[in-house]
Amino acid sequence: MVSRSLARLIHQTPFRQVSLSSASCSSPASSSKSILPPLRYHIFSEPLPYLVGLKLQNDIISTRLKAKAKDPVGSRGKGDVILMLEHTPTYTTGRRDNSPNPNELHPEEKKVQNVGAEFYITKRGGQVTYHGPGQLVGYPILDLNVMETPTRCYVEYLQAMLAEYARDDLGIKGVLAPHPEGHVGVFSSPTEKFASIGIHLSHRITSHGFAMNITPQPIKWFDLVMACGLADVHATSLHQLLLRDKADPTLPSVPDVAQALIPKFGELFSRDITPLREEKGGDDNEELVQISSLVMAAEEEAERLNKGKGWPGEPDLSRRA
Amino acid sequence: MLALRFARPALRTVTGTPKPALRFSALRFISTRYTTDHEWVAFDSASNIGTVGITDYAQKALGDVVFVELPGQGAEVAQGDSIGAVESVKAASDIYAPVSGVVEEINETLADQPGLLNKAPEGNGWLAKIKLSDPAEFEALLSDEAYKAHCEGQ
Repeated sequence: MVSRSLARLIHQTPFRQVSLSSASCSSPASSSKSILPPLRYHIFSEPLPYLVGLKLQNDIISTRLKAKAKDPVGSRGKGDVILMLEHTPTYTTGRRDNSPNPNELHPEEKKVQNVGAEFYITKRGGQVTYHGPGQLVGYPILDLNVMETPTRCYVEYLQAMLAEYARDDLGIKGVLAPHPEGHVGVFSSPTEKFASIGIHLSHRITSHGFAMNITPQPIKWFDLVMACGLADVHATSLHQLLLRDKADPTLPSVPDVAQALIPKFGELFSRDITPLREEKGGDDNEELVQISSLVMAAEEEAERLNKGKGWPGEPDLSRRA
Repeated sequence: MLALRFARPALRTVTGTPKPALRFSALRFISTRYTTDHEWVAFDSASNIGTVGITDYAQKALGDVVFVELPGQGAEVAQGDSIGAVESVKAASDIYAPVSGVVEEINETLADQPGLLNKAPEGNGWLAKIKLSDPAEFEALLSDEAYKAHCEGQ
């Protein structure tokens, strides 16, 4: 069942990726695969300031590593959780950009000083990107060791799943994943991208994840930077593509897309998927109870920080350096 | 098991002509051990230096490496510390100090040729050399057989 659902996702990909893999990701070893507990998910109702989301991911990972050290077998995959959210306006870049001159302002950061967004250098892979309202961000915190999934395949699966949603569920035409030149992400033409991927692994537990533009709101922000280090690629959104391809399209909201992707995660990894909110106490469930309370606390923190504070709908270009 | 660990030095000890002064310390063992995070350490008992890298198994799971972040020379590291990262396609995987000590040297070649990690992860694609502060830590790492069993059992 695993191989069938994955094979379907991968084989619909119009271009075979060259740089992602020399060996195929389409047939994961299923013989030794034990039954794993359900995946949990949470869809945030409040836009998260970037640092609240970053801290939450780090806290979940430490909780998971502690649980794993205590009970390596019993904790297998139990804390696997997928967070779906929107951020308040923020630019981030990957750790590669921290290396040459850690004390100097990042060149991309110079471009977006004072436009109304924050800027952070993170530990994920990849380069500059933007997060903000109108964009769905997904943070799957998954133990790839337990899931027996090579890192490169995890990236490929996420990419294939997002492409499948745009192509099959929404009917968007010309979806490219991977890009003909091998760039990671989901593209609607060789020069237009609507979803990005950037991952960090600590002891093979994933954090960060993907970002998909749903409404056109993120585009003006993206246009200020060279996203992902690709000079000739610009950002687009699902709404723009739907309006391009259909006469009278239904435009999904960010929560609509989050809801639609949840069952795809279950299908992709052949696991049940249930909301995190239903966690009950009990000794054998301590890890999940802790994760659940971390998630709820982050949501409250976001609410507190956002209270009475709006964020700009578009970048303020009047005070640019 | 002993035989296996002794089998390697023969290949390595030929580097450099032995000087007369070394005659009395001629017993030099280089043995390799592994961690559950898929790293290897080749420990040279004469210099007390461990060369650290990622295994071929790790390399295959990562895919094409595009960037390697390493600790600074002279950095003091404790076993289990995150000391950098290996970035493959859009995924940065932390690397850890398999032993405690001081970073004596880092593999500068990786800055220009990160692909060495794919070509020769257990050779020219080594990451760093660490002067061990507690060689007992090395002895407690996984043997070749134990590491293989770990990979198969995962």
